[in-house]
Amino acid sequence: MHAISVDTISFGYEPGVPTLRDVSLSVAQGEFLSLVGPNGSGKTTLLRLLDRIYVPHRGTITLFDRPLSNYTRAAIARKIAFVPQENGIIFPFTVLEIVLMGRSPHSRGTAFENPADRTIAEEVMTLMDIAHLTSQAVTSLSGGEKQRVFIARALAQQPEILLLDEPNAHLDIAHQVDVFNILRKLHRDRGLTVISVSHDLNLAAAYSDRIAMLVCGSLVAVGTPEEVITEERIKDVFQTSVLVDQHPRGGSPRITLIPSAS
Amino acid sequence: MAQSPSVPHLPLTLSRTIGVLLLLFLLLIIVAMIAMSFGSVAIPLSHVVGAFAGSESVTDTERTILFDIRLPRILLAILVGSGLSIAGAVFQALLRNPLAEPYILGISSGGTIGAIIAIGLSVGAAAFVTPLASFIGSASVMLLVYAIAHRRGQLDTQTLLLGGVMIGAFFNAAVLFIIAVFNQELRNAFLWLMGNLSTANPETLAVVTPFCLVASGLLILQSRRYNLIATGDEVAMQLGVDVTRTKRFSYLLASLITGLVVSVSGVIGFVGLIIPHICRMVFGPDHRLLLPASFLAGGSFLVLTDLLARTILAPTEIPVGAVTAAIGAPLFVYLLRKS
Repeated sequence: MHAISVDTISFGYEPGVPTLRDVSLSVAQGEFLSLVGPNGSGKTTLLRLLDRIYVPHRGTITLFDRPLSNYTRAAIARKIAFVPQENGIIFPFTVLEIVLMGRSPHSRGTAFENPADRTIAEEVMTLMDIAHLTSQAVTSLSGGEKQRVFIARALAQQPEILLLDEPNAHLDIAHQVDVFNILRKLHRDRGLTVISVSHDLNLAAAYSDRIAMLVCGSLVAVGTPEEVITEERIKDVFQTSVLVDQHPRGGSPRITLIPSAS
Repeated sequence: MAQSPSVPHLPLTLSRTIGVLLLLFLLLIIVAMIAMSFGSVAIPLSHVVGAFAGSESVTDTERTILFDIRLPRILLAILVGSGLSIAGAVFQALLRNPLAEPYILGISSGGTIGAIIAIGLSVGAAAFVTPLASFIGSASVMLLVYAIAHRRGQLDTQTLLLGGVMIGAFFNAAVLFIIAVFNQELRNAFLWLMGNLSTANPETLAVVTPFCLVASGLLILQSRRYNLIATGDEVAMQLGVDVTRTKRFSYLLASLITGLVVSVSGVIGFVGLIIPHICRMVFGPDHRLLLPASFLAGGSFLVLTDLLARTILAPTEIPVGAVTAAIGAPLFVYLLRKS
């Protein structure tokens, strides 16, 4: 079954300026898909459309074989969690309070979290290595710590589909690998479908089942990392010469940047 | 924009919420009792309590002063303080800005202009007309300020605050103008512009109070959604909140409370800034406690500031809005510096 399926959608923030053009893409349940492409190619926009933050001008999106437009906001939030790229929180909510917010789509009509919600929050905080920050104000955390808090909140949502917008942007290499390992474990053990926007092509290639490449609002390639990450395509899309060989351990495509001679 | 890191607070539970609110309610009763004992005739606290308990040692004169003169004014102060505080806390959550409140946003001035036009045209004969006109005024300003600050789908905070202050200044001038045209005493304008709790019409009050209570209750029921909206509109949507609908509903109710309160008290500024700020520092930013706590603490606060306003230069009374501004304006500057 397809977890989410996109059929020839187009969208623009301003009239006459399309951000996405005729994008079609199906993501199988339990798949790990990375969205890559240059800045401004529409990756984040596509994620927002998948979560119905915005509505496509043309085309349809189906979630578990039902039109996305038939779901209420809360029903979408029980299926899909979203880890945003940046979040300017100004009020000093604690880490635990933020993570518990992930439980809200599951507890409609109740004012307070129950002990089960608390247990789930504690589990995901341990998983994301933020248990020691539980009662700290989120406004006082570093970028990487905040990022882990937002991933924890999304996991507390216990979604079937997890959308991540550059989850590794603020993370040190240890936490980058940690986060991707956790995502892969959730994806393998619990069948979590992961759709992640990434600028790190090496991480994307090492962890994804498939990679979709967006350029100027159009999908130019979808396939296994080996099919999508090639020297010619990178040169073509990013106007940058790279060396692509095989990762010595996993065998996934490995990209090496070539600094210009001058 | 950074907010003061509050004292570490525990995650909210129902029992903690109820406990804090009971304490704040008790505080409100105590403050009200104390305020009732002060005035041109000092009445000992024991007599105030005695009067409520039906004690025989309380004289009829004391009873008259307490129940006919002081109690209505204190109830009015509670209504106004509670209403402005909860409206402020809601505006702050929706706009994600701790500086937002009915006075700064110009919404209070909008209410004044509505009320004064209704009174000036003498259509205020029916008790509900002035509050209704006041609500229309405040809701219109809410829409206007929002439209001014809304650009390319983004709400510009600086424009919002400056726009609100300027609209407030403009409407204050308009109040002076209208009062001159209708040939009323300038002192009247003064009372509208700086707030006044001494001349509320009991019939209007009877109309306003139930609406304020119901609107506040409905806002408190949205508290969990405000927590999510306070962390970002998109995040709230991702977590299942119908943000557009929640915001419309909340702006409308918060403007309603502001308008109604203004129609019985004039413009009392900064209450909606001071009280949510203090409550957030003490109880944390969770709106499930912040909103009802602000509601109760706001009542106590205005009773106390009104007590100060009527006793500090007795027998001369200073406008209560002058007292709240003297406390609130420095706090505003402090928060602005930190933001």
